[in-house]
Amino acid sequence: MSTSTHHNDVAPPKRGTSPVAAHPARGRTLADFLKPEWAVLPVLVVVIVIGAALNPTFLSYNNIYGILQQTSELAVLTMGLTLVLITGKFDLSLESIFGLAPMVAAFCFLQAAGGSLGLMNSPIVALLAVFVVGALIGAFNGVLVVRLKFNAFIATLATLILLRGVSLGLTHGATLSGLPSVMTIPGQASVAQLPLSFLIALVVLVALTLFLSRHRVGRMLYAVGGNPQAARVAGIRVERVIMGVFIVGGVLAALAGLLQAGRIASIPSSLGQNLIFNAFAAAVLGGVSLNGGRGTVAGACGGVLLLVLIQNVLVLSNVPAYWISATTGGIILIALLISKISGADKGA
Amino acid sequence: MTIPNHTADAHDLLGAGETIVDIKDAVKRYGATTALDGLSLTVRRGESHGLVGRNGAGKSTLVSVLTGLNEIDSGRFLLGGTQPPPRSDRKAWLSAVSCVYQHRTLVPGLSVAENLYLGTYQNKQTISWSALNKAAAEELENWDIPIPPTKKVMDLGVGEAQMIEIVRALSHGSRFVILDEPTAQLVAGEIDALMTRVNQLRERGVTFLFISHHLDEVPQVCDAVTVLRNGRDVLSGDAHKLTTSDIVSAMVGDEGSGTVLTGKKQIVRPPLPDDAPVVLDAAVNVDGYQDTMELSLRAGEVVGLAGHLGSGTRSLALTLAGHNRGWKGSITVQGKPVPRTWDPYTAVRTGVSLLPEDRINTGLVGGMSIEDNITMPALKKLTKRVLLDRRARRRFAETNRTDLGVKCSSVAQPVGELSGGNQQKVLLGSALSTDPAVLVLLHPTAGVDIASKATILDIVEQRRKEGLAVLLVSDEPEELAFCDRIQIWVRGRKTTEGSGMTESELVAAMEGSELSSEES
Repeated sequence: MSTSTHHNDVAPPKRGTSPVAAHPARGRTLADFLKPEWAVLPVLVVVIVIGAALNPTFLSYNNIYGILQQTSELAVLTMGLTLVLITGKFDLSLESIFGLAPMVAAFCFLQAAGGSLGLMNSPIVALLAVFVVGALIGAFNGVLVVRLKFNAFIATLATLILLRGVSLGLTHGATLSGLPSVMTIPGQASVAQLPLSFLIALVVLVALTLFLSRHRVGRMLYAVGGNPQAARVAGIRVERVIMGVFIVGGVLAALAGLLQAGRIASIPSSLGQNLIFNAFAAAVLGGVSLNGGRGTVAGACGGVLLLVLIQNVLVLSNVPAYWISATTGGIILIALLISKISGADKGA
Repeated sequence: MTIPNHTADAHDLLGAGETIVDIKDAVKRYGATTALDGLSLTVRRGESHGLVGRNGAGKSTLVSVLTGLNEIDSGRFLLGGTQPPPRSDRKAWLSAVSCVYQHRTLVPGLSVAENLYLGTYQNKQTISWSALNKAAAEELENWDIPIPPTKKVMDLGVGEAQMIEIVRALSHGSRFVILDEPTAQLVAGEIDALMTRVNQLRERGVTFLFISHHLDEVPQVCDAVTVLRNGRDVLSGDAHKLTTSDIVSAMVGDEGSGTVLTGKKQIVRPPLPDDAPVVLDAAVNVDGYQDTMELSLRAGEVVGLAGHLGSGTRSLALTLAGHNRGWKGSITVQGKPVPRTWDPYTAVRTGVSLLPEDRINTGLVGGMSIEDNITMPALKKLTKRVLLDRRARRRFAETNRTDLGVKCSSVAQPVGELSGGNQQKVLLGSALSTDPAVLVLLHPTAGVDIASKATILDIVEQRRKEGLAVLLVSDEPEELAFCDRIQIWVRGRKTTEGSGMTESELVAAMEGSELSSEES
């Protein structure tokens, strides 16, 4: 009786030689397309058709270019939020990180117009600082939720308000402008006629999709969100996973903020304000469950695209500016209703 | 001593006759299962009546009938000599019968007074706190319970909280109180206090139905005792005249009395080789238990931990699997002492896996696939460089699915859609996926169909042959028959250890009495 049975490096077990594959690997079936993350596809098509019919400029290069830019910024933020949502947590403060991370970086390390500490005038340090600030705030939220066991909704609501206040306090409401090119390139440059921010978002999307579907830690996110007790039994360090997700979420929100700040070449103290509601709406439209354990970043990006397209169509159709917000809200409700009726949404 | 006036009308509900409960030939069916099968029970006014029986004997169903939560399908049920109130009249039921359950039903954050009058608030629209506290103080004083009414329930001890539950029951006017395993979570001193209290209240005209797993307590508080088996009363008599062995053999019945446990399932294992190493060795003090708990487990051995709620078997097993932070002492796995930060993560990596008892709540992620669930603990060894090796992972899941005989459309099916037996197989596959050295099983076949039960034990046995050490926590003789040796624990203390014991011996030992010593 051999007792050294604890070998970690053996890949498949040697037992059970019987042929498996009782059910051969199947292709994409109809059921797959009914999954919540695919539910936005038909709605997207409908919106594009309507948009094109209403206004010829909808399909113009410039308009599409603009849509891609806006989509990319919101998509990067929403993907960060999606990671947090998959683990069954909330992070409302992501929109404050979106605004504060580029601002603090510029404020500390640049001679930007509109106020600055001017510690050193180094664009590269400032660029790195954007991500460090994002990670630190994410870690702070993580400590509140994991160590102090605060409810994530309330804790990040508090940091949302706190950080927005810091943005205002630092600059007295002024806009930082005159950003160095290192900080504007990600949001402004174009590569092969496409916005660089779009390519960046695409890279994030591919990396996160691979991470969530094919990396062991990615699978752990779903387990933690689906049933933290079971995750613990399986030997997953639940607290550490949640902590990591808050940090990565913060970094992605900072990146998204950098993209938008770059595009508009300045950092207003209101950068990112109210964006978290769009991110939540997009994530839910894209099939991410607010109860945790379900959703994909691709779906979330679909939701973002839908949201941006709807707003774009409304603007092009000369809907009065004061009514765009109300119309968007109404359309989100209708979209949710459609996915509920189609059965794709199982109670997100 | 007299019964307080303000409950006089409620008292009438139970009439003034000799018998409080009169049940004759009661039958209650749930679908295909017969929970009560011609049961009869007579509880006389002012007596303390013991009710014993093993799991599934029909105790819970009987309690639900007696408290008006359920109605019998046929038979006679008279309460205080008259027809019981309709099921919808909760108020009438509360003032007639009350039950102090195993689980606490008090709100910890509220005061004693508020808990006493929760939901009724003295039947007033507005709450007068001073009046409420005054009434509570009177009620407590009336029953000689020295607890201030303004104290928060969370600051009370377990025994004190139980007193409050009893007083609350009495404050509804009820003079018939069911105590459902009241001593399971108490320590020795509290048990004595409870016994004294029950005896005092009985002298003041309160009737008790006392459900217990500890047979030695029955003669201490009870006048009469009824034994249930398979939904029927099989023995009823004077608690002081019946011997423990009478009661135990009535509980076990003819079919189990002479059976040697380990022979029952024909699991005949060759003796362990002398050089089989000790893979788990522990001497721990677990929070909530006074004595040091010791346990040693060799490779290829199956040890059963038998005991009821409060026996400490579950706490010990969870501690060994890293799921309990409140312990001191030493745990050694495969010769190496485990770190103080002994958590599930470290345990799984050190080779100790757990099969929890409540599979869908604590064991599985219902929304994830069979593949995900089975491979979750073992993802590290299924990783090729950075990403998971999808084909190896799928192969691993498929092999396990076949070995475990999980019935499903494919390994991509969410486990939430599977039947209980198949879920349990997936959970076992997950626990075994890391090739552990020690497997801790909590009630591994509870709520599982017969075919799946056999498969589950077969798979564990197969791994055991390869050197897996198994710790099995259970109170079911059927599961314990799988063990090489069985330890019986009562209140955090190991009382008996042995192999080849009969079902009667097992039940007697779990109920806290030595069968042989009283059989003279």
